[in-house]
Amino acid sequence: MTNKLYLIQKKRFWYRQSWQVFQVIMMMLFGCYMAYGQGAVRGTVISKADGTSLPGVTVLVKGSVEASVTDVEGAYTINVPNENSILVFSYIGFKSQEITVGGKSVIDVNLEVDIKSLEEVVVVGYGTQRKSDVTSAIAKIGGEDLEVRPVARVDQALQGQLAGVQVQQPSGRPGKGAEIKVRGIGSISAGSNPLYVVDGYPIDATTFSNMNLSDIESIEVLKDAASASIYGSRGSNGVVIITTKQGKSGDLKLEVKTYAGIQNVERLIPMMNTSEWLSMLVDGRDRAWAKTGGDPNAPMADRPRNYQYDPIWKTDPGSMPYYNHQEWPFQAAPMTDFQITASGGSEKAKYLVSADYFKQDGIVKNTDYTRYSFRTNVSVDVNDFLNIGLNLTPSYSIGNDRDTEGKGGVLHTILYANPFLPIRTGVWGESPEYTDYAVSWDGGSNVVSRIENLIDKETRGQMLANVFANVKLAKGLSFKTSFGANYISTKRDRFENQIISRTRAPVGYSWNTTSVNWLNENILNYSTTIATKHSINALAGFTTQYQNDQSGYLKGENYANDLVPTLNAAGAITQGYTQESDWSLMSFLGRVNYSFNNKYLLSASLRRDGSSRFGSDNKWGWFPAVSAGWRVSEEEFMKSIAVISDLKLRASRGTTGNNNIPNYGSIGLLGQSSYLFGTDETLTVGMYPSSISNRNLSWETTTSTDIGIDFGLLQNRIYASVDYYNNQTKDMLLNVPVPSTTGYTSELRNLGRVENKGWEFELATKNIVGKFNWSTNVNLSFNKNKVLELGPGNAPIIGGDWWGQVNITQVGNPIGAYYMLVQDGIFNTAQEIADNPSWAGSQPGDVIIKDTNEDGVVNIDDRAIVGQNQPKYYFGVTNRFSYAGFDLSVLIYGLGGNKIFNDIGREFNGPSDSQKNHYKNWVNRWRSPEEPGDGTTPAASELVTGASSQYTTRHLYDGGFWRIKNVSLGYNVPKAVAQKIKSGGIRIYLTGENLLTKDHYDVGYNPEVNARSGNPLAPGGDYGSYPLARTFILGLNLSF
Amino acid sequence: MKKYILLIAVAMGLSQTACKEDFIDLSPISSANINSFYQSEKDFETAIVGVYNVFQSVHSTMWTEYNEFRGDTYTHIQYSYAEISNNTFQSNTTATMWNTMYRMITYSNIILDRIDAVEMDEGVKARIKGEAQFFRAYAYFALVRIYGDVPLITKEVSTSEALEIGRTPTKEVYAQITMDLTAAIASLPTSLTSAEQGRLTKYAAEVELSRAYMTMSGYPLKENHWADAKPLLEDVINSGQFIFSPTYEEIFTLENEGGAEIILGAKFKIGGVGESTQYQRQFNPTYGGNPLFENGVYESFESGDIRRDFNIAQEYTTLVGATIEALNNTKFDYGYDRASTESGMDFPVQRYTDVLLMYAEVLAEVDGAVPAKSLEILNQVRTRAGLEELAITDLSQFRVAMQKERRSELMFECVRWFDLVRTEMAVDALKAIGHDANENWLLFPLPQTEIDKMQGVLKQNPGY
Repeated sequence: MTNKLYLIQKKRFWYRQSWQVFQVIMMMLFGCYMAYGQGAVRGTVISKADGTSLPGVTVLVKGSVEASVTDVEGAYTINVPNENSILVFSYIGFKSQEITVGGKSVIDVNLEVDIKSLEEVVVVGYGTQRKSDVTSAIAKIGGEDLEVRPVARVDQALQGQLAGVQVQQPSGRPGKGAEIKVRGIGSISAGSNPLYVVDGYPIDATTFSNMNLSDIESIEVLKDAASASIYGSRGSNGVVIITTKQGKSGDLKLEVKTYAGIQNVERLIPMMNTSEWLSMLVDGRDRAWAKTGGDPNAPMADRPRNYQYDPIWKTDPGSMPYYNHQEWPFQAAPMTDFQITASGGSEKAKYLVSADYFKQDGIVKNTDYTRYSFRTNVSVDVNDFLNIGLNLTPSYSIGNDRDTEGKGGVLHTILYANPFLPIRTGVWGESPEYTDYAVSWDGGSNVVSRIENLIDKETRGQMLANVFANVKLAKGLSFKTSFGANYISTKRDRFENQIISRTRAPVGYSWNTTSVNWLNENILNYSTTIATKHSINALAGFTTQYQNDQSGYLKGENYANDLVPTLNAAGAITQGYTQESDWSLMSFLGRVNYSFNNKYLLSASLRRDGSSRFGSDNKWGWFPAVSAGWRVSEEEFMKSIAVISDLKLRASRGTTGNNNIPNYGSIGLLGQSSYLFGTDETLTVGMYPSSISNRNLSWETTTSTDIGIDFGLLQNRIYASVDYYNNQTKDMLLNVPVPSTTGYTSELRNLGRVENKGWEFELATKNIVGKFNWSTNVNLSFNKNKVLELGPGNAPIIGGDWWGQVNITQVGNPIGAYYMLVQDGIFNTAQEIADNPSWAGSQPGDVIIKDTNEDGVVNIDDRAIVGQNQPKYYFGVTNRFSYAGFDLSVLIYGLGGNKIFNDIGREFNGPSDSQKNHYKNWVNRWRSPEEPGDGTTPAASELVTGASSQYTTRHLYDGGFWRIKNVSLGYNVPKAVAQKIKSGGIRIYLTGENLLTKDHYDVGYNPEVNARSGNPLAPGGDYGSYPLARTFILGLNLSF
Repeated sequence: MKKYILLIAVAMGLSQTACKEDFIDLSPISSANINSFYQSEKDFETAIVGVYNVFQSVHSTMWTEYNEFRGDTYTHIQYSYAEISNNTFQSNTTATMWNTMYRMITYSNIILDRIDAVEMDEGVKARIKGEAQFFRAYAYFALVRIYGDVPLITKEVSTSEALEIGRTPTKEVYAQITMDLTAAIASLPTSLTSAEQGRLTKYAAEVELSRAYMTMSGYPLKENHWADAKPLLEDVINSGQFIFSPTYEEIFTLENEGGAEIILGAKFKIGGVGESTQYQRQFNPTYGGNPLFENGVYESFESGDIRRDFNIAQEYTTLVGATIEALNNTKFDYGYDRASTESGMDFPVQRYTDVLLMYAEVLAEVDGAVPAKSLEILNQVRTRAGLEELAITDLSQFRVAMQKERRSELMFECVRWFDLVRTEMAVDALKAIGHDANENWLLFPLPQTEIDKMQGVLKQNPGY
């Protein structure tokens, strides 16, 4: 199919412009073309290097508006006015060629590869840079690294790919995001999320969730201050820049991609079976009875009720039924994706339109996620100095959950379900077994009911739209202005019917949020080369951004029945509120890049941010950065060393901020109260200052230093980068206790310092090149996090939930380090207890707690720092093989030096059975000095003594693991075959995710778990998490 | 090209509209803030209500905890009550009182700092200032009696300023109290409209100042301010606005809680609007409270004293209908609504009978003898209680009789502990109920968190 575009009279300027836009729209709608011709020149364009035909080459008649584009076979036809006409052939990555027609009717052209233009380009803040010119620390992923893995979310695709970028996937719940940390944690209360920038638009991290991975051209992560400080007060946690695909000049290209897969739970947690559990129960109840001085031969009825048991549990536990309840919530779950992308354009107008439908059922029954996302990217060269464009990204998603995760969630409660009672269905108390044994489950609602009855639906609609105009003002000087808006609307509806509601009466809830963000950017860009050696690129800009957030909540009760879940059926709205807040940011920015002879590189940037969040005495902040590079390989003395193909040294230093402080944190707020005046005691409203004003409140500041080396050997077949960084964060935002004599008890202040230091290594090798190709990418990162200073008196901050505060943030240690009693075995005899310091009331079979402070007394003061959840290192290894149309890639991801705290063990890893099933390790419990078990699991006892139910290191697990994250096998159908169905390319692939995990965390589903996501003071807890799925996917990509 | 320059100009112009400093000056939308408040008469009227609210919160249960549990009325086996009774404090038990009083002081300070700059009706301004001065003095008077030397802060302070201010000697705190109350007397109204009932009057300030002078005259300052109190009390008595209630019982009724016997009450009401008192639920076993009585409370009443059985019953009926034999505070049963489990009883903070007894005491101390007027007042109160008149001529005997009378008359009204302290009877009273008490018991410990936060500027009281 040939697609020709003809342009109308040059004079009729505005007409032409709208005609172009019309054409673009027509192309988008119908993919059709308009053509007319007479006395034409035709020919074929091929690549000089390998002779392959080049589709999409622009052919122009110089000095006229006549233009054409080559088709799939590289063929073109063009009308020429006369034989003196000159044809210009241009194509990205190739040198342009000019040929005089000279009366020929067939002109075949060989285009030469332009080495310089093929050089990799890196997207940086407010612009792009040649990779060889980069002097800061930027990690990039693009092309097939992104293409090869069909994952639900963009953040998942980053795992294991980039040094210095830790991607943690704590939950496998459909639609749930990963946590991204760039070079460690630099904040206690202002968050660790990097700033996300989509096509130049800085957005909220949540906007990310509805993006379609295959719309993305590349993702760059700005890791050091030199690259991120152009984003000023938002750059401290790094910046993730996402660039979406744009249309390319040429024929309409239609791509259809689809895949379908099946997901399963990766593993189950080993729990005891009925006989094992009953053995523990009998053991524990007998022991408790003995501890209270009870006569072992006394009749069962003499014992307290919770020490009694059915004698058959002891004599013949095998006769009791066994149900492995843990299998119940899980299912084999399908996931599918279908997307279609149309792109193309003329030399002057380019477009890309895509639509994507994604549906994922959860591996836990009745959970799912559906997403519809669309994209339109259009860019038009109105004339030779004006380019205008539009990016439009509407999307909508629906997620359903069933209280799966967290304390009291399905995946928590199912674990301890009584293994000899069948899973309960229907209303509470229906099955006679339950009343017989008076087994209480989960305070009144049962797991199955919630899976079957709960409605908890979250919908999200969003639209990111951006229009821009780029004007060339003079040679090398251009001005870009853009205006964009991001609209997000979320809604969550929850309905607990009569079966699951704790009060047995239906309850309905509804939450909603609406967020509107707009952005205006004006950037002036200038680049020039002076005396061929001095290359200068400078930009200056002014931007404003504003966001308004609104939220609302309603709770409805007094429903007549379960028939209608929405709040209109509620007899009464019993709770509700609406809230609104906003923020604004105004910035000036500038940057100069200077390069001398491509050898010596220097870059300096400066941003000035004014934010509504900052205190009135501190409204504006400066964020400067400088970096320098030396391309040693460009020096004459290096040219003789053939083995070194590239060598660059670089260093940078700069300052970034984290402005993620509360919207009005600096302004003292008023609370409302009331008193009674008058003989009739009329309620009179009063107000009082409820929080203290801090006119100095400001951003958190990070000063970072980065030293790096990039080198390539053997024509870059081996390419490596090494970086060392040192990030010093100060003025951390802390809620600091203040003297009550001020009238307040705490104040938000900028105090405290933390540092992150680390090394990063990246290595890319082409091991075998030829018909059979093998390449390897390795990245390895080390990070050390240390708190240097906290609030007044450096008082440590204890973190965690009420049931277990096992984290501490203390000077000299990492943020949120584990802090608990250290277990040191099990007491065998009363003599051992008498001879050693022990926890008060310890008996044989109870745990030994280490006297860490060596004061001769064992008590709560013996808590010690016993590790951290932040990994000390993490790595990713990708191996890629290809042979004759087949390709195979294998990604391994891993980390180490971290620990996981099993919060859930509080409930069923203690010595008392509490009518709850326990982890399998209780089979190896202490029974007597002769049968000491595994040496860590104490004796079962319904009467808990000593420290056996305390949180000790018994509940702390090594969190290191490595995973075969992904294996993808693809086959590209030969072109000849593809063309039989008029396809430009067919790819079939089979992918497996989470194929194998090697870890030490056998009491949880996922070693990446993080129950208190977003709270760095208490990381790495597990109170029942949604497992990651093992997924097998079969996919097909077609292009036309 | 011109068109594009125009376009750029428009774009720049658009952005210029946003390029003003006020673009980044945003104020909270869903909560009021300090910057936009304290601007008008209405704002200050609203702000002073916020101070009344703190005063109200003190008199729900907190004031009783620090008085009746500390002294020889109540004891408890649980909670902070037990700590206060037994002088076995956890590190932060006394923080609530400390924080509440400094909130009252801060809110008053902000009003006093900012009101002069605002144009408003001068009468309204004077009255609000008087109210703020009263409450500031009220809070310091409470603090100085509970903790002794406390940081004296009389203006809005920043955190760094507050960190510099340590404990101010009791004498200086009292100087501020008398200064504030003297100023308040000058600007508070002498009468209230029916819509203003419950607000402060000049007489409330006079009673408070008299109480301060009497306290300053006793332990620990022992300065002679008896004569200073005399004209103040006379002004209250001669105002003719207050009436010695004909019967004891009718004072403690919902109808009379704003009546002529009451000079100042902390007002409460039922109705699910957050204005009820927790008093009964904390201190009356019928409604869920379970304090115990110290030995000798019931016996401290003379036989035939109608106030004994009015204040204390020997048994009570629980909500489920069981009858339990134990002493029970029945004085404040009125105002309790069983259906909503709320109580709307106003707590009497200043009562006319108290004023008369104070006056009798002041007259005797000024004269150094027992004047007829003092004896007359004492017997007036005794007669209403159904007791026979006394004829005392010896001052020390009079003092004993006076404190005994105050205990019986003002049972549960939170005057007993501070009376014991100022008359130097507290240690003996504590010993009498079995505590190994000493002078350290007369002050409460400072909250440990505050000592920690002040980094050495604040020192703990001896004995803690």
